[in-house]
Amino acid sequence: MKPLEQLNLMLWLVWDAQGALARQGFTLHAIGARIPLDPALQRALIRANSRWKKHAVAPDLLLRYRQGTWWLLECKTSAFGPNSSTAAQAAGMLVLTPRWFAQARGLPEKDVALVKVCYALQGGQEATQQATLEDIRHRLQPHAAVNPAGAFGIYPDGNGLTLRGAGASVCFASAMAISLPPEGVYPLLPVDPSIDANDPDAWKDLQERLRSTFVAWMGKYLPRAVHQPVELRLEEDLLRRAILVWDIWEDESRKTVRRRARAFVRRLLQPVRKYFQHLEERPAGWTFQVPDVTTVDTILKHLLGAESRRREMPAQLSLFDVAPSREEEADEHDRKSGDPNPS
Amino acid sequence: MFPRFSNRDALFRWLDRYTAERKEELDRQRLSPHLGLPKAYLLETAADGSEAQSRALASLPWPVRPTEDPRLLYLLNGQGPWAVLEQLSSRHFALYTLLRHQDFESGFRKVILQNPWWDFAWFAGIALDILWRDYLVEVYPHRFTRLAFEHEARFESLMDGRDITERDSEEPEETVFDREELGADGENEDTFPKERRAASFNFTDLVGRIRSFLPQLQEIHPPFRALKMLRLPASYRGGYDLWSWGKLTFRAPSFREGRVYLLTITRMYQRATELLEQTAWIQAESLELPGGGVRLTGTSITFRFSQPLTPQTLQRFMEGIFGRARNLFRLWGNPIRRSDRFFYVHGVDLHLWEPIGMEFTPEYFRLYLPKGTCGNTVHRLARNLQRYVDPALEVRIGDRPYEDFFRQALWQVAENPSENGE
Repeated sequence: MKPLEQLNLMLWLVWDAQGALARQGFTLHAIGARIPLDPALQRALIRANSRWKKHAVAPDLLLRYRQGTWWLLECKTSAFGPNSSTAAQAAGMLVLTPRWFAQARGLPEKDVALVKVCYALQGGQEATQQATLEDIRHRLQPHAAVNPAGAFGIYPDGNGLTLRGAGASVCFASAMAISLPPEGVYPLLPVDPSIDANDPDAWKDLQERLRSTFVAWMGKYLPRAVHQPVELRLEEDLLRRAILVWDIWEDESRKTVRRRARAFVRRLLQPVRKYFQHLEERPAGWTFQVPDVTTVDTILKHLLGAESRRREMPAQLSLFDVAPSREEEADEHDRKSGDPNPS
Repeated sequence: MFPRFSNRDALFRWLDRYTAERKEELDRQRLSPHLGLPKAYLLETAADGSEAQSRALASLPWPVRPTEDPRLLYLLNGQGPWAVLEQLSSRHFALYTLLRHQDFESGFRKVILQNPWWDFAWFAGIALDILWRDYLVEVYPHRFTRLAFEHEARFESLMDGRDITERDSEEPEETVFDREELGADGENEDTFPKERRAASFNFTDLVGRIRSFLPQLQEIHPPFRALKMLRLPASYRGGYDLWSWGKLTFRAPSFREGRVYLLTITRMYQRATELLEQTAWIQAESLELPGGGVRLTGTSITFRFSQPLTPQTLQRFMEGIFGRARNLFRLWGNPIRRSDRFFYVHGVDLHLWEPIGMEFTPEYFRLYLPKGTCGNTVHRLARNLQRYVDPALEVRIGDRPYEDFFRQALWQVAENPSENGE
């Protein structure tokens, strides 16, 4: 299972109607949230291990259980050892005990009774991961209070899968069997550049969501543009509708998605550009108007036509094969290092 | 054409007289050559009060003239008012006309199906079956009724690897609907019928007798599940034919009695749609908690085939939808192939321009409706999938059967008529 598929599986589990975790009382708080570490915690980390330099942590998911328990959930395909580079992130999450977590997220302390660090892995890896977490906790304990931590494995079986915690796991007291559609779950998050920036299937998925959202918006609102300007907003009108969890997706890789989405929408507009009046691109999106209802029909026919899809999508070139700018590369570097003062 | 009236009561009285006269002609089997039976077409559009509804009315190709009654509108052509539009609910209108169906229906269907602001109210066989079993069988076992069934395996490729059924790539979609009420009796002598599996039956009998043999027929021949017309008995004689695309033909003496049926059907339909939307709409609901967070609600709608489609049939099915801008299902999108047996489509419902998510496999077609999408999409898909793909289709919203929504809506309407009063 790819990391993005794992993440979408976890999101599916907190989806009300069918999600095993939702039925237990879990709700989704944030995806990829960057949680800054107080300087006191940063010092505790370095004292525990000089290589554990973290300014912030960014767990894949923040889940809330009922009123007071929080999960910092990470999705991994395989376990890591206590001396790996990934251990620093784990250590950072382990020292984010309730008081520090509440402070970092701006929550009332009374709303954070317990913070658990949980790792979701491919089945068979959880015991190793649990041992690593205990090792890290042991190293941290002389220097700071630490959260409970656990790992659970995802085991495919005939009807779906089973989640099974490692022996001392704090995540699931007992194995949880979950029935799944055989072809996989509907991906609430189609792409996550922080997991894999070059997954062509993921970008293709996002592209098609944007295309359908764009066409739907045009069909609905283009008639308003006759004789008066309308605004197509990239974030509110397109991204938020294409990605249901956009508003709680806090990862900075949203910037990459935003940039590439803008480039794609530019290409969608290009073949019909000549029909618009006063087409302007702005930071929030585009404004334009059209001269008459006949032009509205012409534009919509073009957007629905197969020819337009072939023309703007040459066979060998993906619109998302756009090299990141230097600024974005720097942003990406800063994000990974947890540096609160990006270059 | 409709004469002009100053108020609704005068209009309805006139329609009662007209309807009674046509029924007498039917009884004598001498229908006037230029006068049609009264018909009503149940139409769906955007919600009341919205800008979209105003735009919907403005989008009709016929001039719309208000009457003294705010819920009645005339539709005009070169000869005057050819139809009356009555608003029955926040998003449903009835279009009443007296024209003969052969004189106008084909063009009228095209107008509605190509207009993004309008759709018909769709009654799949599964939904009509609720009216049959929970109403007709229980209340009118000793009355005559007429049922019609139709199924056409439009996308089927019968032999694995060998495409022996004729394709429809060149056939205009509109002509599919021209065959709506023809069945075997109405075949055009000048055309050669497409060679594919097709079934069309109708019978007239006592409700109680049909009840005794219909389940067995449905068991051995699935097209008997694809109910396309159901005659609702009038209080004295005759009845009102409810078609799967929301048409009601008045074959009884009373216009107002037929209208009462129409109001009940509309309320049931609207309520079923609302219940379905509340269950299915996918959204991230913000939580009223410190720090926020969301609850992800909603569920998928699964149309499960009784037998897996062959790869060729699945291919033709998808080409039939996404290979042409105008198609039976009013859907648009770009399929993403994940494997030979699994396709995603992030598409658009061309009725009201709503983005929707879809998955296609040989075993099922699955739909995801973001919040705000009209639930009518589900009814239209259920009806057309039963009609053209699999008459024994099973539809579930999450784990709840589709028919439950109609059953619940029908009895809620029956138990609380005052809540839905005009």
